[in-house]
Amino acid sequence: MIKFGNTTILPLNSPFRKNYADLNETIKSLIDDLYKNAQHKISDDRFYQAITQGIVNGTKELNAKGLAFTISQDSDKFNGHLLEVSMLLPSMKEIKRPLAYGNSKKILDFLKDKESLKVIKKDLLEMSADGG
Amino acid sequence: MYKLAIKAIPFGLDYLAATIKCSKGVMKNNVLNFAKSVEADLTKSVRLRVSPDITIPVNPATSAAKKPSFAIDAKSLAQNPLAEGELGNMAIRINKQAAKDEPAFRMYLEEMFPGLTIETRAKGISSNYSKLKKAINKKGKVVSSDEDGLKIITDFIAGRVYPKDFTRKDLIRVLQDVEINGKPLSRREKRFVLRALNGDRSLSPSQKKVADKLLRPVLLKVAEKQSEPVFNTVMLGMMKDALNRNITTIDKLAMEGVNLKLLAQLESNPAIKPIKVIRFCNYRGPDGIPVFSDAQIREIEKMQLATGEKFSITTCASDKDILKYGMANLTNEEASAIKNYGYTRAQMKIELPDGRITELQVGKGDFYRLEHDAIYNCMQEKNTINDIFKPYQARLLSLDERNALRYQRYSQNCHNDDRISQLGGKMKVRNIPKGLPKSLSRKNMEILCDSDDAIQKAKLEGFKPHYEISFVA
Repeated sequence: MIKFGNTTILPLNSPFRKNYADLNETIKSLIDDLYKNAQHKISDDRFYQAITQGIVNGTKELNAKGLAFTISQDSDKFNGHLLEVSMLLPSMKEIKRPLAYGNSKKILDFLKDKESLKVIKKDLLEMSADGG
Repeated sequence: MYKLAIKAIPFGLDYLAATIKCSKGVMKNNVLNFAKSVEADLTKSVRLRVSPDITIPVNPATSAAKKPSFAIDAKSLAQNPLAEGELGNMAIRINKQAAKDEPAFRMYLEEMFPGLTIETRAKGISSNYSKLKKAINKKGKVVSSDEDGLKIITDFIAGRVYPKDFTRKDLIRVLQDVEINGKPLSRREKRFVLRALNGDRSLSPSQKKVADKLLRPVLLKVAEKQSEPVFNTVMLGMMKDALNRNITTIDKLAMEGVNLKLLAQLESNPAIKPIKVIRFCNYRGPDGIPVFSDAQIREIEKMQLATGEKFSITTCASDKDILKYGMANLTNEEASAIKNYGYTRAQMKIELPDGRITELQVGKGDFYRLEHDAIYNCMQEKNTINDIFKPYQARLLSLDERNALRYQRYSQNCHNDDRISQLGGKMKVRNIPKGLPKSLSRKNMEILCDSDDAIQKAKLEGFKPHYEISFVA
């Protein structure tokens, strides 16, 4: 894994880059990694830099170059965190949607919840269609 | 060249004529015979000259119809000569509808944004036609009705709202309250920032260092204040729409962290006008100052979570943003796709109560027109570029990679200069960097665009749309 500050990137030899990756597996792997990363970094009582987990798109379903998840903090509220999913389109525009907002527990619970996968998948497919 | 008026075509335009072009030496009788056959059999697509330089195909036989005679797809466009004409008819109908609806849309925007400058326009016939054809050929769309066409065009009417330019007084007022990383600016910092925004070159290196560090975060805050009246109106309108459609409640909005001051306004002001936004773009160039701040975009995202109705929010990726996708090394093609010329504007797709979609743009800047008409059109090598731009285009396209990047940076800086001036700073006189051709300068672009406008205006004098039928005898 390569790290740029709080951003983690899968290397070029990632298995996701071979053939087509499964969309469910890709999302699951990304949010699992984000969860592990966020557990240590997210905080309700101090400032932290945005936490990001991204990957070059290897799935067939998404018309995108890359996808990423970001957790960031309100500028005026330590315990206001926003989890977003973003996508880099072939046109090199970036589009994003919110997934959850709340304190650190709410964000971590969302990442751990198996049902979240469906929400994220729906958002990603709609974003892909929007961008196409 | 012979002219023949075809009276039987009820196109609804003020003036109709068919111009028959033929090669020299053709007998007049032959031409007249051909004209008669055209008059008798108007099932053939002919071209309509919609402006002095542009024609589109139309089908006069079905010009009075309210929808296409058949479903138009990529296959029919390739195989059936009438399909292009049917598409042209649709482009005209949509333009006529837009022209009819434009005053009401303008009034809607004027009521929504009182006191702000508003502009509206109906999308032109040729733009409608190109957009429809591109969507059918490149995206596999099929159109069977004008409603299908409107779903593709999405900006058959478009409006622009211009936030009020800040004066130096406004800028000073905002600077009093600005906090960077939770701390207000010291008097010394405010002074240096103001001097830098005023283009003061006498700042010492240490003073300049302080100002440079603060300039961008300060400008982002000032821009947020400048766009606040527009943002609050849109945000309140979106929440009002969601409440009207029972997809959220004030409590849910509060639970998702939407700004409490806005919620108080939403509860206390029954006059708020609903607005349904279905797409939101907040474009900016690398290091540019966007119209809406990240904090404002966050408010929209929180509202989306409270309504459960999400739409995508688009920004331009910059070289820095792509790192998170693991794309440190871009191909030339990818790098050039990034909006590197500094385009800065917010665009929203709005769904009207009848389901039709329109576009609203927020932001302004003189350089926007120059960048669009000169750089964008010439880079895209559009066939509508007039001869006056040809030398500029040749220079632009011949720049080597290094100079092309320098020119991009120059364009970004010109956009940023406009932004600083709109935010109460002093407009810089920016010279084109050494080594780049002077013909590519902002000043020259201005001359070209103004001259082109004058040429177009002169061409339009006395121009009336008319049919053209070409044949070779």
